[in-house]
Amino acid sequence: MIILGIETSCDETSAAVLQDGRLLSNITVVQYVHTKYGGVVPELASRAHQKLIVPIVQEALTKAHIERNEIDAVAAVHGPGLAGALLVGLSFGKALAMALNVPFIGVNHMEAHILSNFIGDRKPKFPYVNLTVSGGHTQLVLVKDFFSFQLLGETVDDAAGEAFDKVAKMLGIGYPGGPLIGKHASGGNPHAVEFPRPYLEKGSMNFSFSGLKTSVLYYLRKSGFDKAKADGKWIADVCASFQAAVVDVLAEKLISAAKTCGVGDIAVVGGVSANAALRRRLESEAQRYRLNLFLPEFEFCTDNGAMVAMAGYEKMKQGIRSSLELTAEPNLQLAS
Amino acid sequence: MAILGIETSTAVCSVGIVDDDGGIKERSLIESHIHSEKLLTLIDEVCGGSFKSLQGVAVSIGPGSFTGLRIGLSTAKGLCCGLGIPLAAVPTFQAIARCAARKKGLHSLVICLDAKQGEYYAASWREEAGGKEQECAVQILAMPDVVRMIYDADLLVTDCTDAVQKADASLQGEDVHQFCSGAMVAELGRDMLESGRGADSASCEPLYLKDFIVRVQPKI
Ligand SMILES: Nc1ncnc2c1ncn2[C@@H]1O[C@H](COP(=O)(O)OP(=O)(O)OP(=O)(O)O)[C@@H](O)[C@H]1O
Ligand SMILES: [Mg+2]
Repeated sequence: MIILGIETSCDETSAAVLQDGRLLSNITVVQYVHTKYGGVVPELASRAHQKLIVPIVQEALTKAHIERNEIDAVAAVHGPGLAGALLVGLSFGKALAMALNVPFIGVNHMEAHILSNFIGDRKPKFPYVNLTVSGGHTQLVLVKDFFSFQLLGETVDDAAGEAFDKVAKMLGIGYPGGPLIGKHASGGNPHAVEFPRPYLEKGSMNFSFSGLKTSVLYYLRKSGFDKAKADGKWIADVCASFQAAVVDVLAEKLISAAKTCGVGDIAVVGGVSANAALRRRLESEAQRYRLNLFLPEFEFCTDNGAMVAMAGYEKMKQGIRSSLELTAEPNLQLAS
Repeated sequence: MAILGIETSTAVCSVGIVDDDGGIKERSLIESHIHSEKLLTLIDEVCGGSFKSLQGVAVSIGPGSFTGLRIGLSTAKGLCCGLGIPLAAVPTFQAIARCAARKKGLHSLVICLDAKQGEYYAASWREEAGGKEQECAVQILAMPDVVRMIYDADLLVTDCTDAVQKADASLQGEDVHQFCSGAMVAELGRDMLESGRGADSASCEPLYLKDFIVRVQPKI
């Protein structure tokens, strides 16, 4: 069974081809148009998807050595995400499925992120606890089966990736902030500044990062920070210290959720799961508590078509199909 | 040539097909925010569930609602890719003008659509003796300039009669939506494809006309 997966929910245009659960190709273009604005501009994202959708899909098919009439189903994300951006991939995907006379499968972007850990050979076993840490979400989820989730907790304000991006902006180190903070942090001292660890009330599985972000802002003000004159080592220390605070909270909450739920497998997905310090920390925690840790390959941490194709594949196996009247849902929630 | 036409640039979602022997089929809905849901259903209806005889897809390319244009063009691209048939990008105002002129038996008209923020997409269209059409170049204008254009034409076709009448209460307009026709888009698209003026479905973009200006920097 050959699935074409399409992802256009935010600022990556991506398409992938999956054959019987094995990935044949995954082509992703990260739109550069947003860089100079320091954040994603929705109208520009929609326009970029429109220019990229056909070339990206064609390249994914070519690289997979698959002809269009060999496709058995088309899967595309219909939410959550930016309305105009979602509409490009969704409209294209539905029409392509109709033209090929094959099933269309609408995919929830957050489900797709969770399924990014099923792309390789080593896959988590149900039930397991998943932490999604992306640009728009921070969620702890008990994954009972492919499409059976229990939301254990989520952020009450900023998402983890959002906090990275905002702190990077304050420091004037560029966009997107997550990877850049990670890079600067690698040369810094994580104990240089003691930023608060927002754990919320005891046992809470929710997150809050806006207070931490504000602490960084106050620290910068107090230190008389000036973007133009900032010292590289000083910036590295702030990045490392901020990152350490985020990593502490994420790691502790994930491990404690795993204990509470009594599972043996844990997983992290989403853009922030690419963070080297977080990965290192989780690996040592997993070892310490004898948990099996699952992290996507870097290519599948941020938005990608492969995870969408994977969700489409599992839905096909379960006989789940979508109507061609499916429309974009910018605020789609993870179904429980 | 059997050509499918898609018109989603306004609140109308219209799909038409013109076939080899001049047969025309059309299905339209006038309702905002249903294009993404209903477009394929309408396409399925006019095509009778089979795309076998289809030789091209024509889409109304703009100017118009950004969301509507996005849905129409992305859908058209999906069909073209899946069926391996060519795409035609039909100027929206030309399709509207020809449809209105034919229905009303007129030879000159002005089209004016609200482009928001006090601007209007406007074009004057004229058909000379022998059916030769004058090119329908769309401009972005302020209302006083649109009104000057209207004085020279037989008919005004618009989605903003109120704004026009605020400038000159004596002016009458016909509602544009009755002239948004998927079949007309198909007809013009067929002419384009037959004369080698198809579009490249890989790079084709809507005619947004308005450059998008980023006004607000996202705040921290
Ligand atoms: N190495 C890294 N370290 C920290 N953060 C990172 C790293 N790489 C990416 N990120 C962050 O990940 C986020 C992007 O992830 P992703 O593409 O999964 O999010 P999104 O799709 O925008 O949001 P969502 O999936 O919630 O709709 C950005 O906030 C980015 O800064
Ligand atoms: Mg994402």
